[in-house]
Amino acid sequence: MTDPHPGNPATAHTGVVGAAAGRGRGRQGATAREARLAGDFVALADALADDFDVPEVLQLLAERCIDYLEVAAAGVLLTDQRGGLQVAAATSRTAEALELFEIHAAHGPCTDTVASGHPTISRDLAADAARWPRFAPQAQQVGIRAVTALPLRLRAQIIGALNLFHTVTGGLPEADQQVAQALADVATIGIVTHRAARDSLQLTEQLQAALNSRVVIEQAKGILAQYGGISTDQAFTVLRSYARRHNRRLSELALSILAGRTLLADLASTPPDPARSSTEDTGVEERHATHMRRDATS
Amino acid sequence: MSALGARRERVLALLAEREGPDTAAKICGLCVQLAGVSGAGMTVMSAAGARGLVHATDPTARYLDDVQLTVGQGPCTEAFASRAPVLVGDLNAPDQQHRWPQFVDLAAPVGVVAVFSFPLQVGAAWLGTLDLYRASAGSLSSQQLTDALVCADLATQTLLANATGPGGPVGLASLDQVDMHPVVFQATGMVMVQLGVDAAEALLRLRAHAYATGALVTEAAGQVTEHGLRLEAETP
Repeated sequence: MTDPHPGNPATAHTGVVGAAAGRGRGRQGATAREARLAGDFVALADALADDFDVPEVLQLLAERCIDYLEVAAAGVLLTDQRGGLQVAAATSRTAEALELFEIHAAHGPCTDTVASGHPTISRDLAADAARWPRFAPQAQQVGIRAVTALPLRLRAQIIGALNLFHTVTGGLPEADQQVAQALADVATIGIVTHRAARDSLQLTEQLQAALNSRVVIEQAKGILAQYGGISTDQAFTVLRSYARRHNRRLSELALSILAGRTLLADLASTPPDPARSSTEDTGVEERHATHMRRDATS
Repeated sequence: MSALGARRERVLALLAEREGPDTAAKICGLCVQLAGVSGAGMTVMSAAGARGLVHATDPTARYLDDVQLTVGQGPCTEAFASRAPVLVGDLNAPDQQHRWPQFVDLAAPVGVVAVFSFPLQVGAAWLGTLDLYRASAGSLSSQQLTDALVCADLATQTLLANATGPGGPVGLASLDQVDMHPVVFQATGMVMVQLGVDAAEALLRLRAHAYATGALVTEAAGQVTEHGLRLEAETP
């Protein structure tokens, strides 16, 4: 592996070097890591791409932390729409099991971070056993000695947490924690943007459907009014009455009238709706039902 | 912060200073002021032809909506169909005269000279337009254009926010304030039966009748629903 930018001062100054050097990679490895990081940032943030997939992005986030940092396993918790937590990604069964344990026990560094929106760091779980009396022994049992939990947070919005598990005490060097947080931040922006775009699209579709259904109902009223020789208000009463009686949605009934699938003669012979108590209302329905029968048979 | 982002903050601040419960009205009013135009209207539309007026700042803006419903052409109709802003600084300019002849026929006599329509869109979806008119000729300055675009963006957000408002997830409550021109669609249904044609054809006939008699389509529709007007079958 060669350094594409030898002598690049940015490389020499980055705090990432120390951590990578600690693993025996040296400067060249660090620079290569930066080049790959740039690409990862794009992949994590590319929320408007057609194939953007939230679980895939979070899996990528967890795996890159393993690749770049002194981390044995990584997992991601994500809040769901009902306010609960889900394991969204994990690099190993150990990580997944610990994440699940935290959700069920409702305590641990990762859930603390989701609640506070701030990093939760334990450099030595044995020393912090009092803080998480159930989680700490559970983690130690599977060989985890330290934990770094970082928030997936965009301004006030906390969507989850990135959990990094270490098999040695000491935790992450500050510079490495910054790299992990930067990856988490970019993934968060991607996910929040993706969710907003998806929600907008859904709302737009609902709005359009609501508009269309209003138009179709008005048109069906007109058809029925002209056919039955009644007012459009009376036509609406007949439509509503028929829809209730046959347990159909008004907009669906209206569409079917427009398409000629519901026979107008059927509607015309709709008896008054027994569910309606107002005698005046019922009287109107009876009157125009009779009216329409006459028109339909003429 | 980008120039657009800064401008957006400024527009939001101005919007917050406005009194009143109706956000759509506030956005339209602010847009009139910032873009230096005579009036504004906000319209929701669906690709299937539904069309409703959310707000108009004055009778002329309301009339322009009616006109486009009548003649089926105009800046708002085009902005929605093309999903791009439509900017016409002078409807009487030689190169604009043939763009929407029927629209100009009805809009020019009430003193409408310039029209600017902006699609309200989110990604691939689009829900309507923000429509400005001015009684004098001239393009929008780049600052006015930026502000109008920001207002269109806020209008989109408002429509979407209303869609999840207290009325429930589908937001029909927010549509209650929208003038959907129900009489036009009721009359369309009646003409379908009168002439034995489909909805699209019936609406065209209703529009043609309105245009031929110098009426707006809402007026012609009222004649059908309230006064027993029957359209005659076309003679071959």
